[in-house]
Amino acid sequence: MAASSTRHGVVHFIAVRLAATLALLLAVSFVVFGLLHLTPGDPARNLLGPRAPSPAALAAVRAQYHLDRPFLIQYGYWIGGVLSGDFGHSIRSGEAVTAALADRVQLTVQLAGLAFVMTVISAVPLGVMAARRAGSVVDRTVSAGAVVGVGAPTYAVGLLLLYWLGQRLRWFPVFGSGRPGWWSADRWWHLVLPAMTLAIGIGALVFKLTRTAVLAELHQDYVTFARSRGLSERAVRALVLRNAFIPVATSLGLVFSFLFGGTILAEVTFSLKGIGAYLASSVTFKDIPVVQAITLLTAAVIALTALAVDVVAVVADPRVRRRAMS
Amino acid sequence: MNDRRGESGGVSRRTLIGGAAAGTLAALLGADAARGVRWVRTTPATTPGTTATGGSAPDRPEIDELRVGFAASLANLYPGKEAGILNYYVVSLVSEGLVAPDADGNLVPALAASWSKTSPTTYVYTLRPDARFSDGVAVTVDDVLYSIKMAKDDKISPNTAYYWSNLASAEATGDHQITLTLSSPDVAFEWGPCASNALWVTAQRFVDANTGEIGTPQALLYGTGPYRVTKFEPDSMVELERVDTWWGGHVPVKKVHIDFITEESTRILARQSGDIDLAINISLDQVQEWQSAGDTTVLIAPDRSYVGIDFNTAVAPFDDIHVRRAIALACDRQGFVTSLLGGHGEVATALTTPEQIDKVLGASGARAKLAEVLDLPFDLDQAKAELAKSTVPTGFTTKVGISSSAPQVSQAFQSLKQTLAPLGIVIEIQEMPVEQWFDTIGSKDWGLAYMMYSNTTGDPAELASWFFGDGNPASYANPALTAQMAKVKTETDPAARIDLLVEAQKLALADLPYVPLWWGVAATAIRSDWTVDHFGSYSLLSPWTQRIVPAR
Repeated sequence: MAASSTRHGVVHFIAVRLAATLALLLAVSFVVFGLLHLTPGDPARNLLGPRAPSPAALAAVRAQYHLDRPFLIQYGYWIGGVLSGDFGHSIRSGEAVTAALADRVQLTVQLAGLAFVMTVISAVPLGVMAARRAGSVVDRTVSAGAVVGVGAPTYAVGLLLLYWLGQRLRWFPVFGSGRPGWWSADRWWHLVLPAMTLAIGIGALVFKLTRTAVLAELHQDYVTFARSRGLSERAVRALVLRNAFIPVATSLGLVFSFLFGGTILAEVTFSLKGIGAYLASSVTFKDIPVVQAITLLTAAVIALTALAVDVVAVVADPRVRRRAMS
Repeated sequence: MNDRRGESGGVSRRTLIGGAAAGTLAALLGADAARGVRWVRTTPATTPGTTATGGSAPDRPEIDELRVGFAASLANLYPGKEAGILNYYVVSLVSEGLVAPDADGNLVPALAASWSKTSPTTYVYTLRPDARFSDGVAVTVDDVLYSIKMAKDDKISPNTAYYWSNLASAEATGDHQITLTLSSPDVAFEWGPCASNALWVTAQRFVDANTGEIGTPQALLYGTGPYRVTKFEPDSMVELERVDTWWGGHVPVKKVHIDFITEESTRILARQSGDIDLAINISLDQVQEWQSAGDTTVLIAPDRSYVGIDFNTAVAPFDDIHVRRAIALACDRQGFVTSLLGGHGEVATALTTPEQIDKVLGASGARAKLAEVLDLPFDLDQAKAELAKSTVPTGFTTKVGISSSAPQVSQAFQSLKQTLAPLGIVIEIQEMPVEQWFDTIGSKDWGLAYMMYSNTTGDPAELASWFFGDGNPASYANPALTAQMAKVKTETDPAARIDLLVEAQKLALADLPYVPLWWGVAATAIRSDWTVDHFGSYSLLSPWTQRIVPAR
């Protein structure tokens, strides 16, 4: 009975959050559309080049992309298309936005995913180990390394890795995205260095967060109490890790969102075809359909990751669950 | 066309003429075995004679794959839609117009075996009978007419439609004959039906059969050149494969793989690791890094580009000749070239670049002729005296927008800003994306602006016809100049036309609506056992893979 009510509560919680996410996405799309509208520049003029175009040519191109219509009508055209599954065509290239994004999203998901896995398997265990041996040489060494990792610019780390592991040792390719595909070994091989570049910076942060979370738990009264009751060190560790898990999981959720939206520097350094550089060039061109699609997608990934983190917290922590249910 | 992608400039008076295949074959075989490059002696099926191609040398080695690194990405392969200089380099291998420039910038036959001008407004082109598309289908007059219609359409070809605005009619006047009639005489029109400018012959059935816009991965190019596009991933790569249908015969490179590597340091590493053989338009700031990359030669040549200041003469205080003159006198143009460009450039004395007239006057004759246009010293005392005569004798504050892809222009304005500060002229420099910079050109909000322009044609009046015509970025009007430019448009004798054009530029630049700063160069890096034969500003605008030859 209790389990069924809990399940019902969680489902209700998710449903409410999903509805809120949809409303949020709608608001984001409107705000981004508005901001693009306000920024200087005219995509029609960009298409026609720097030479003063004839009024007729300018009018024809503007009409082609509905740029001559009032702001709200333009937004209406766009949202109408999206609701019927059509994200429109890129103004710059003429390519369908969904086709243009398919490959790029795959690459960015792969890159962010690989960097995420690298971060989790290296930073979390190191953080736990450093906290348990707080003040030791190992702790101090890893912590100092983390400071360097947080401080090192992605671009510089990327070039260093490229130079040593790519060009000098020839272990990894120097540039390019490799053969596309979820299971393409060539693709994953090409992504190792860029993912490592991202993981070094973000992993240092996760390391620090994990260390702090575990250290805070180790100093709680329940740990002293558990030890005084004669619980094995293994059992104590399990208690500590479960309690430290919530802040770490929350931070990992943020990390994934950050990685998904923050791959641009690695993309540029390694000449990868992802959504980061595409978004940047589309913003400067005012390629409205592309910018809208990418921001919407990124917002959706961030919102859904946040939802997943909250669900994990609800399931893992009875206190959070009680608060959420009420 | 404006050089929006892979912008670079730079110079060297060095003439780099690559050697033809010489007796180094054995050495090359050894050197390249490890990289999988195969060199074999081949004999071309046909020799095209005097064509855009220049013909294939009998001993030219066969190259399995040429790997190229571009400094910028392409979003669309059809230059009507995206007309950066790199788009032209790709399309010149795949598509053709009726005529094409050879390596020296002379117009030579491409799909038209011959052409003639039967009246000041009438051009008659005769198609070559052996012209075929990459799938072997013969090219018809209808294909050419359809392609002209496409290139003239604002919506399909926003970048090139204006080249055709003077075309009154295009019609078939025979099985293999097309007649183009202009609304008014214009000598420069000859450059229009050219793949390095505004025509890429394709077939209507191809366009109709493909959904989506031409030039995207869903509708790749379909042309008559020596290659066909096998794969295109925007922002990533493009791959071309040789076809055996080209009327010009055999080209030595079987496959061309072009990667877009936007980070220059990565591109240098890619060359060092042997992943690319050729890097086109390298950054002039990093010529030294390229030269020390090992196994790499840097080729530098003038690229017919122009950099200069534009004043909007309809905006105060730039409507005052004394203000314009004060700023012009404060430009240390020789200093810009020597210090900022590291000598990779040349002080510009006119809008026309020497390479657009040196066929007629020779290199030194061309420079002497263009030096007549503007003799402008760097003289701060004179600048002060000019400002004192102006409506703003104590100075003023203004702004200039500079594309972030033009770092040398930004440095030049920083230097000018410092020079002008003691005169009371304050310049705020705003860096911006290239697209936003477009908006500053000719805008009333930007009285002070600059132009970085790469000529695509060999027509010496290309930039002048824009800068002195209606809708020019300086809002400059001068009836005597308009009359002079009308003569330039109709004069058919090349030497007489240059004289008229130089006179026009003298007339206009006396009022200083524009201040030429420098003529640029382009640099290309190539593995040191190869070179680009006859490397110059036209080398990559017609099927250029046949100019890749072993270095002597």
